[in-house]
Amino acid sequence: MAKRVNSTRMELTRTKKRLATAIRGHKLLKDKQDEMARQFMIYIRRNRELRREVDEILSRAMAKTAMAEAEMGTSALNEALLVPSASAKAEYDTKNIMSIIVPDIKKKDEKETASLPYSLIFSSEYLDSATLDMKSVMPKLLELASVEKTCDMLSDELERTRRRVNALEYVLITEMKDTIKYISMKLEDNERSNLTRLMKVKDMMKEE
Amino acid sequence: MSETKIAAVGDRASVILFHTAGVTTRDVISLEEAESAVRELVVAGYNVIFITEAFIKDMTDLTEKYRREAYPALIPIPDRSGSMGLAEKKVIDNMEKAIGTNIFDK
Repeated sequence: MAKRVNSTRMELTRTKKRLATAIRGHKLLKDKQDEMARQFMIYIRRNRELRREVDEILSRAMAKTAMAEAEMGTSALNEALLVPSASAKAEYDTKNIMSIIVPDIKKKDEKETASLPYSLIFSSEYLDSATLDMKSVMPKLLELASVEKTCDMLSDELERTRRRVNALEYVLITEMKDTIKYISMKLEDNERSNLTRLMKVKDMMKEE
Repeated sequence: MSETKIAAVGDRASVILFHTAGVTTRDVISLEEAESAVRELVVAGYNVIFITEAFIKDMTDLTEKYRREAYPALIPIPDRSGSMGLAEKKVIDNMEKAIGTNIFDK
């Protein structure tokens, strides 16, 4: 049942106007939701792909470091890894996806540095492999960071937009349609009672 | 475009490799230490912070706090004992939240 409203023509016109705005808003939001879902699908696929790759490479590299530590001893390992073999340089910015500001990280091209920062004589081969793995996974890690964050933000926004779209579609618009129906029925009813009264008056006048 | 500051937080064995890649590392042993390390790094202007799954799973306060902002990005990484599947689960959760269902399995 519609809310208690004044059954006047003015109220009817006002509600009709509000309904038109709500329908336009609903259409816009629905379009936004569709486009965001499309973008989200692209990002989430990439996210899953990268996450699997990165998890696998990192776990492998860490297991290799553990092996190297077992072979060389903790202090020798720490000493070997004291100096970084590369500098993780990247530039960060933001970009706008459907008016959500998401991170955008780009790996900088860097000049080749010595691939292994320690003496090869006393170090384990596991460590070499782990260090090189780590170096190669860095660009992917940075891409993962920006993609994963984008997915977090997009999923939040998508949920919010979905709620708004549903609220408009199933609550506000339905309610306003009911109100319009209620007012127009009431007005028609008044019209009819007016007509009957006139007819009655006319009959009475004829009789006189 | 500005320079990204990258850091890694976790147990020593897991983050030592990040050090070789030129990432700032903080080795921590307890959750409290990890949380204060992350807070310090954020204040120091680090935009990307990799945290081992063992610690990030209990840092809901921090992750929720920064969830709506583009930076800093707090990203889970597997630790020495391998991945706990937490990050993969997060991908699925995001999917379900946004689309309403997990369509990767279909």
